[in-house]
Amino acid sequence: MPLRIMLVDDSAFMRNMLKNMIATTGAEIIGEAGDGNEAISKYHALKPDLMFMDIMMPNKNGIEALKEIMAADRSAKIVMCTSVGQEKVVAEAVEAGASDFIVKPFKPEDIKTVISKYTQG
Amino acid sequence: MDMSQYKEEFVNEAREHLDNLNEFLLVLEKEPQNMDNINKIFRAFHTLKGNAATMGFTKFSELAHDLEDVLDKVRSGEMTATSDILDLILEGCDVLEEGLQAIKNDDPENIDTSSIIRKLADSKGVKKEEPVQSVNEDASLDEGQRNRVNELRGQGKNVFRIITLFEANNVLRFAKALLIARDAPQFGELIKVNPSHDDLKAGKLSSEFEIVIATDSKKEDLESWVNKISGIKEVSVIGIDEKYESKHHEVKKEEQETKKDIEKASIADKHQSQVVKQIQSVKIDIKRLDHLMNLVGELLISKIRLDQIATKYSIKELNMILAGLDRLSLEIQDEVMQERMIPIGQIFNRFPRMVRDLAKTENKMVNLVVEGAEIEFDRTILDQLGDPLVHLLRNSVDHGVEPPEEREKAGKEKEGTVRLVARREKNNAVVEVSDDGAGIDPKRVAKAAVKRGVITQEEANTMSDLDLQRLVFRPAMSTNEKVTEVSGRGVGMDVVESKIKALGGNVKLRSEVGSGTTVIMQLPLTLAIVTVLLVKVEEDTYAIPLNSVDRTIDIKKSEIKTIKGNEVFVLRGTEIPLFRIRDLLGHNPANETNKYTVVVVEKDESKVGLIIDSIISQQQILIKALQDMLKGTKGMAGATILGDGKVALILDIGSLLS
Repeated sequence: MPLRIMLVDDSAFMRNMLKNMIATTGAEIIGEAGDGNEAISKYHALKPDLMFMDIMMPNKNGIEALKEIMAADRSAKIVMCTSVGQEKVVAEAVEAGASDFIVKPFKPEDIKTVISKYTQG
Repeated sequence: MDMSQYKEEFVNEAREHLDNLNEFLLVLEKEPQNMDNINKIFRAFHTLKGNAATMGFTKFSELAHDLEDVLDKVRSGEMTATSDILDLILEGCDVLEEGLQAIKNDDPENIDTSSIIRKLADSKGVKKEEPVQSVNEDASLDEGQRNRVNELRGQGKNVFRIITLFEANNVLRFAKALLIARDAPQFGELIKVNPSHDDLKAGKLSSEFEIVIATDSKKEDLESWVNKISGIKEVSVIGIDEKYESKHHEVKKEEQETKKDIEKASIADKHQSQVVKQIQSVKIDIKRLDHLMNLVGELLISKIRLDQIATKYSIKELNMILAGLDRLSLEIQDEVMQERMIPIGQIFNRFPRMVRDLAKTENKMVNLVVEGAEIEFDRTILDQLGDPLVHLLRNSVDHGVEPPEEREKAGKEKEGTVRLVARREKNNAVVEVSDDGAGIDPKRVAKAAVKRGVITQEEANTMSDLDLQRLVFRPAMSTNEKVTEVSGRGVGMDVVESKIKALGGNVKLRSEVGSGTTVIMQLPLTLAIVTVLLVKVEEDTYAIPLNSVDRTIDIKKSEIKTIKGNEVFVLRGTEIPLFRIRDLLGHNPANETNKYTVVVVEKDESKVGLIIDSIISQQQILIKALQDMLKGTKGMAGATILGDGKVALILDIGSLLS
């Protein structure tokens, strides 16, 4: 069965980009969120196998959302999407329980690699 | 991967960010300590950078990156958002704007970012690139560690040295190393981390990371664990025995293998039934909405025809169905109109920046207050509203608000206030531009107008102050710079009025010498469908937009008086000029009767009576634009098709009577 993925980014452009990259891997996008608050509530509603989450977002940023999700579900698999220049928060994300990191600009191969690591079989 | 398909979305989103930035930056100027705002600016540049880099728009992305950097320094307090810095950031936004244009033109690298990037670099001081610290080459264990290894091995643990090689260009390798260090204790006791945890946190890591761990797990398990992390070139898990305690170690490339993850499979199974499909919004080309609007209009016409048949033959059953159809078509119409509505804030966004720049060049202090940005308009109207607003705001700053010294002398605040307000008023919307400046002096306008030959001195003497002030809407008052300087206003005011009138709206002027000027624009909320009064003139039907109708009234022939050869009648103590619409439109004169039906309409800011033959009904109609040949016909705003299939012309009161 396909990997069920959730995307969190405040940029609809970025989400679409990711969506199209993920579409080629056979994984399924089951939900999207535009900020940390939405990410948390949708995570609990959808329980995705894997979540790609941007760090810099309005209302509640990715790090805070990551902390809250991990506190409620230690098995959550969350890959943080970062950019050059975010080194400080990245260390924080590691402590908060992030599963992995990808760096913008993403290449389709980056996404494929991450997804293949979480796909069984 | 073909990126061109994402271009439009990128452009739209970038457009939005740049518009927002203009607004945020002006807030920054006023409230340099507003962290929330600084963060918003930072995030906007950050997103622009990331999106552009993903699209491969290098120059755009680089510039956004540098701007983000500056904001980061402002955020951390390392830098202060002085007026100079702000100018620089605004300049940066302008270049991004050019960049966006270049991207639109499919020539993304055709922007010159070098000058602004240099200036930004200068402002930040010399940017120090932190050298990448190399790993401690000494891979051996110190004495304490060696003792611990021996101790644990004595307890039957396996001790492994795990060496991870990262791709050298992976900027997040330190983070991946941190992930390994974080999760290692799940497998056993961590004896050594090299580079140290603190160095890693500071981003110091070359391409190799080493840990030594004592564990019950097998080599394969450790390999597959590390391999779960992306961006790793190779992993070597080497059992430590006496031999490996020497200084040298060998990195062997191990076969990478992804293990079946049983845990994950079970989670996936558990939630299989919970798959929820998300409802997503769709984007619709405005042309399709226009078409839909047209179809709705045609539907309304058909409905009216059915109404007429039902009335003519008094078919009861049909009436029932028609009542339902009535409700449905109204709902559809409402829905379509709603979809075309856009908040006026979208065009308001660019004005704070414009006013700021204008005020700066004029050495004036101007505070722009924007209200009602949430009021929604049909997008066709919004498209047309931008230019008039630019004219009006420019007038307010250029000619309205006085220089600070002058204001102080007049006992006003040094800083002038220009207000841009949108609000709903019944079925119309009102957009108002006002200032607390010098106002329009009717005497000076009169003088200028007489000099220009717009009016004669005699006319000037008999005109009211408001009429004199309204002369600024005359084209002749706008053409000559000198006149506009004297009159204090007039740049493009005729353009403003004609644009607003073309939209079916009207412009009012309120100005008082010394206390300021307000220009009030009344606008329809939507263009396509209007409510009109259908009137009969000879054998023809005309439509008068209801928003220009004040009232309808029957008057007796004896009530009509003649003043200086013009017919008038008195309505509540006010003389109302009368026009016979048959004369205006070139119909045959009507037979004299004792009773006349008059439609009182508003023209400019006064009332005028139109004598018509009779009133037919009030109706919603769909406006059809006049074709090229008829376009611009005096007195006609458009045409519509009536329920019986006949065409009715829509009267444009403003131009009909001018």
